[in-house]
Amino acid sequence: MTFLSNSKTPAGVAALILRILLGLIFLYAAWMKLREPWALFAMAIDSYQVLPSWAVELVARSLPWFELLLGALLIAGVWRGISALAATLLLGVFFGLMVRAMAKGMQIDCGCFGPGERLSWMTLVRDGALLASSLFVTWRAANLGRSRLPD
Amino acid sequence: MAALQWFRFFRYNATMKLCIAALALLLPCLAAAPDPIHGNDLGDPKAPILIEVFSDFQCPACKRFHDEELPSIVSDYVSHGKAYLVYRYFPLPQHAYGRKAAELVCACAQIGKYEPAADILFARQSSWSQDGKLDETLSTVLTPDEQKQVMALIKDPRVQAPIDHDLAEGRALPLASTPTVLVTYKSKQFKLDGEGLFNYRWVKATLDDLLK
Repeated sequence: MTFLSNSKTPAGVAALILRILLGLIFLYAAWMKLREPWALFAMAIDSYQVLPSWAVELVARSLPWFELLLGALLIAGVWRGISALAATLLLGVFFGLMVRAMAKGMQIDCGCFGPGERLSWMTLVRDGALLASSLFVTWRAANLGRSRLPD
Repeated sequence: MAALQWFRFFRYNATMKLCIAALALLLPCLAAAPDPIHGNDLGDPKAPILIEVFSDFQCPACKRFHDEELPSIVSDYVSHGKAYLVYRYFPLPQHAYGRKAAELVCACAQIGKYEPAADILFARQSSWSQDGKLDETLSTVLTPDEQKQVMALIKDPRVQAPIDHDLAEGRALPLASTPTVLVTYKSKQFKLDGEGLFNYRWVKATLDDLLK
């Protein structure tokens, strides 16, 4: 069974738990965005002032669905390396944008789990922790792919 | 004796039940004080969408919203009966003339002059924000008789109560910045604020999404 396989070592167990946790967080983030009008998420993205309007709309409409897919893949353990890498890249982009906004002193919505959450040091720490977890899961998946050792 | 005890027990219970019923009827009245909207609204109160704009007359972003975004919202939604607009007084403590401006506009609203008063204060914000000459600014849109009425109303509870009500409502949300637009549709509330609020495309998309 792909879901639980190769998790005999402590690091493997940790990777499995973190992967499922990340998957659940991505599912929750997607659900929180999809239940509201998409334009509210577009407003949050626009507040970062990095994308033109057409790109803001494209991201606001597609990102929640991508997060939904990513969450499902992470939980199911399908294409483990690719899904972990995609999660790491996505969280890296989010983290970079948040650091930039904080450095500029922008008082904006985080947009992480739909509208209404203010960008703060707490959101930055949380996103940083998620990024670190995702990096670990990606590293484990890459190691597994290279050495074929049990995960 | 037993019959008398039963009678007392029943009478006690009946009285208690009546008291509880009376309290249950009174509770909604105690919980929700009436909203003192008077003159600071636009459109049909029965419109499907309620739009509440929390704004401070001395805040530059509120002026920008009033000048650039609000006319489009009014012409596209309020005028067509799709939305009911309520202006909420939210003077920020860091603005020296914010509260006085809100009091003057609220007094103007009591005599049916909300819009000209709000328009002129936003139009000349940079001037009165420096010298505090709010009365002079308003005198350009009020007759001498109306000015007297406004001055007489300024400390009246009809003026103070709506401002205090709106401040309390805004703080309860809580409001992170002004302007903030609160959109209510079928008991669901959406808070619109930040830089994205100044792109009418997103405001329109939100309202259209709710109405479809």
